[in-house]
Amino acid sequence: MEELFKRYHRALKAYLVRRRKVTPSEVDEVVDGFVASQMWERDLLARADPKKGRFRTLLLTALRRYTANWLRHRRALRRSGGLPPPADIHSTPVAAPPTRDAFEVEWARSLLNQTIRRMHEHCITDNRLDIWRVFEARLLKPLLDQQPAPSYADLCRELGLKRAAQASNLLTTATRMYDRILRNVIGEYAGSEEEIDREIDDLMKTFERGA
Amino acid sequence: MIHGNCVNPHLAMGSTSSKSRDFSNAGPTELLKALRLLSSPDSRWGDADLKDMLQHALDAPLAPEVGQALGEAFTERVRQLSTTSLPAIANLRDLVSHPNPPADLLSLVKDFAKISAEHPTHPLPRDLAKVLYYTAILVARRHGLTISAQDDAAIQRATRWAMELSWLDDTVRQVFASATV
Repeated sequence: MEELFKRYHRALKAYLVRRRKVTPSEVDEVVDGFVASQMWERDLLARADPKKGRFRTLLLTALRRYTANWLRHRRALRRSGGLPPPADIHSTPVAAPPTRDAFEVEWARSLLNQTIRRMHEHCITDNRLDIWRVFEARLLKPLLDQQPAPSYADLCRELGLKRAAQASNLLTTATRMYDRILRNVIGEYAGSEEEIDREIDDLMKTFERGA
Repeated sequence: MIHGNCVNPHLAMGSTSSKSRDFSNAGPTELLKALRLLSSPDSRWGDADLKDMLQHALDAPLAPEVGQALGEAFTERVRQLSTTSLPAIANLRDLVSHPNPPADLLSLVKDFAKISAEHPTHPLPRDLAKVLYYTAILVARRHGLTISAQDDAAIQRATRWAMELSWLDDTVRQVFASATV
């Protein structure tokens, strides 16, 4: 559970800074306090019933509630003179991505970063760097760098592929691996295959609106 | 020819470092594309790739290409049929233009194409596999051989579909073109 919160730390922070008006200097304190309260006292994951909404939604609801209490408490302390205002109270938050929902963006970034990190580790462990190289060259780099993917002919030359099916086979294997690992990563907080599908659909819909 | 220009894969493209690229700065558009990677693997190959891939399939040694999909026993069978033909058949291109192609070999190529299109571990792009599948059937028909139960209407539909493809090799296009006459 601690690991799970750690992974989505950036998403929680982005949400607080951009949506809940918590200053950058306060955000770590709020997130750490929230994680501790949820992890040790309430066990959010155990309560995450798919029928009552997604884990992500549940997490945000709990965070919103915790932050409101935290801010109320903070304001009371300041009013009583027990606490100075934060140093960066007027500072501009970190530049936000051009989307209406910074939390979802950070969440998806975390999901995808974990997916490709694990995929790369699997490829190293299984001595299948050929799969990683095709995935990285043909899909990952073009996607992130917005440059054309190397052609099939280039792939064959670079990887020394001798049969027509090999490059196609490697790419299909790579995307299946990527698919499986992404679903595993989501499965660590989503309870079922249906819930994983819903989570992917939901994120895609969010980005279709924001893209 | 693609397979004549092999280099050591360990010196090749791509980093082995997982930190080389990640999604930490990706925007909604890139994130959406990354999530969409989960759909349709064939859409990742463009027409130029399919053209190269078809040429590669036509020029690669026939026995390992077919044997890899059908199984080791078939590798030897393909090799035997290829070497005992006159003239000998080195690759699919030879088979397509052969004056007397063995029906068994055409049938094996047809099976190879079908398995490549359908089997999850032998995934030639579906359209490419379909072209090879009908090429084998049409070459057989051209020589009065029957290797498929497909009727004329189905063959004509497939032929019309194939003739619309921009990436067909001339050798294969001629096979489909002759079937439209």
